[in-house]
Amino acid sequence: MENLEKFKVPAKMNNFFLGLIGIGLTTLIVGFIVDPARAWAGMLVLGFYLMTIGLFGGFFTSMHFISGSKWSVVLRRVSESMFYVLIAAAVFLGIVVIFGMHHLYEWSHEEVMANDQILQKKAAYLNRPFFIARVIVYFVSWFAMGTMLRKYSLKQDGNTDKPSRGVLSAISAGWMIIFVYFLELCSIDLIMSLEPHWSTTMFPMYTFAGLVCSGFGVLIILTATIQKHGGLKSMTPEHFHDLGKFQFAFVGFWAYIAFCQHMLTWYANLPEETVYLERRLHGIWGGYTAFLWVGHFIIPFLILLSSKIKRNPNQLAKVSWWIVFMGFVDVVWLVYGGIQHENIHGYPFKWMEMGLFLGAIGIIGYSVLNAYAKVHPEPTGDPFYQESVHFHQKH
Amino acid sequence: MTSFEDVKKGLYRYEDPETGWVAVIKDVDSLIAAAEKVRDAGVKKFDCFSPFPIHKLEKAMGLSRSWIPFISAIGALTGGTFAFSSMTWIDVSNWPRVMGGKPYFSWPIYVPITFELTVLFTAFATLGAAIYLGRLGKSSRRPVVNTVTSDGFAIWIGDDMSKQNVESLLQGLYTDIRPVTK
Repeated sequence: MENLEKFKVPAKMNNFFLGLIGIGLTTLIVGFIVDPARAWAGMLVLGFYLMTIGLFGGFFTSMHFISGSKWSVVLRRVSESMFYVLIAAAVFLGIVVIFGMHHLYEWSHEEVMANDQILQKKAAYLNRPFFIARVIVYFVSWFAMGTMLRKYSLKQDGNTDKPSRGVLSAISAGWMIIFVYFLELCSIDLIMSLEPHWSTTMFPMYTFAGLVCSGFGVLIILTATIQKHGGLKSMTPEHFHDLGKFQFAFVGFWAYIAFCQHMLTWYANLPEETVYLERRLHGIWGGYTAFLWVGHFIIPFLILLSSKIKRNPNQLAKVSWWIVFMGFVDVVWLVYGGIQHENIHGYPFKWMEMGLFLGAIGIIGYSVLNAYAKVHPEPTGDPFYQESVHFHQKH
Repeated sequence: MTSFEDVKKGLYRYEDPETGWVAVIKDVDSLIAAAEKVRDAGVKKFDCFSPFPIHKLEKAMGLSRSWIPFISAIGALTGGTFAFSSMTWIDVSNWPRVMGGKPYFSWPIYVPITFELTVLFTAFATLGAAIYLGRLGKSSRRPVVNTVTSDGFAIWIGDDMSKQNVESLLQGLYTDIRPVTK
């Protein structure tokens, strides 16, 4: 096993990310003074967005092990480090769930519950203690499984007691089950229950599609940044090409899921389903929805068709910045669209959302790069490491 | 219909081989190096043979970009336009019906079919282009060394070069040079 030098996060970059975190937190504080209702919703958006990025780290790592991928070995440490974004997500979502529930979820008000027959039927699931317990269970299991995966993956760097790929893919399979089921329930709990009268089975799939889109965006940006500053020397345009292809595929997947959900809702025309579209297709929200569809699908789809762009880390990272931004716009669309009728006034994307987005970028950049700097930068102990480095170059 | 006997009799044998020289090469690195040398010497009539696809070889051979993606794109646009416009024509002017209380022109319901026909036409266009541009059915006229279907490599050079020239060009890269005649 060769020893590679650990990645050093440049001081300038650290300060930049800390500055962005400062902007985010200031926005949140100012927001709570100026417009608390909007700030609570913004905090939910921030927490949920960070959660998707963190979960993507575990998702990509376990997908890599389960499918027996070899090409992605060199960049595995980055995706493992992305998992640590989940800590910040847990903090924000914890505050929202414990202190902000009454501001966001109408089913948490007893007087609303008492006058609403539909909600009374759902009370067994939508009630305060069960809700909090569920969110705690999700995060505890994600943390337990994710840190275990990371621990075993790091053991490959040691000289003794190396776990085999079989052990790692077994842990990954466990993580995958927990990840998928709890992501499904979590998006139903945190976002779908903002509109408790509405329900659709496509919704968790939609949040998953958004998760993978912005997750690959963040992964591409981070690997390109690390490479620019002297790390990940083994990564070649071939690896970026594959990441770009994934990005391209999942931009298409997002559109597919989004359209499926919309078309079925439109076609069936059931009152408890159409309310979702009804709220998001009129007035200011019509323009916002159109922007989301064009920006999250059509623009990146057309740009990513080119293989030249996918093979160029700088250009691919630029497209990914746009997709990461649109991922945030997407979560705003989901959350604000659900509570607009009483709390959100004016255009859905204003200074507060921009500030929170910058804060999210700061948190992601700071926590991932510093977690990455602590570990051996490339899993040279992995038996497929050399295969990954020379992937597509020689046979 | 062509019977198996016809095939065995040699109907598809190299009846009209392109003459030249075949250099037998023993590994991938030498094949790439040889292709680069031949490309740099400005030879146009040459081809490489290998039992598996080799990345970089197309660059080493100096091949220009494939037309297949553009033909696929034309197929995609044709399929998409055809599906969407034909459904619009049927629903709006040819046989207008009210279905589920929706307007005649209900574009969301056209999207799945448009998507599917786009994919179908793209697939046909890509397959057709790959067969045509890959000269499938014609390429067997090019003579090959038998080992290139298992573990060998070869490079064919047209007969506008003399054997001496081929030998000096591929110095140290080949194990054998065989002539191809009519």
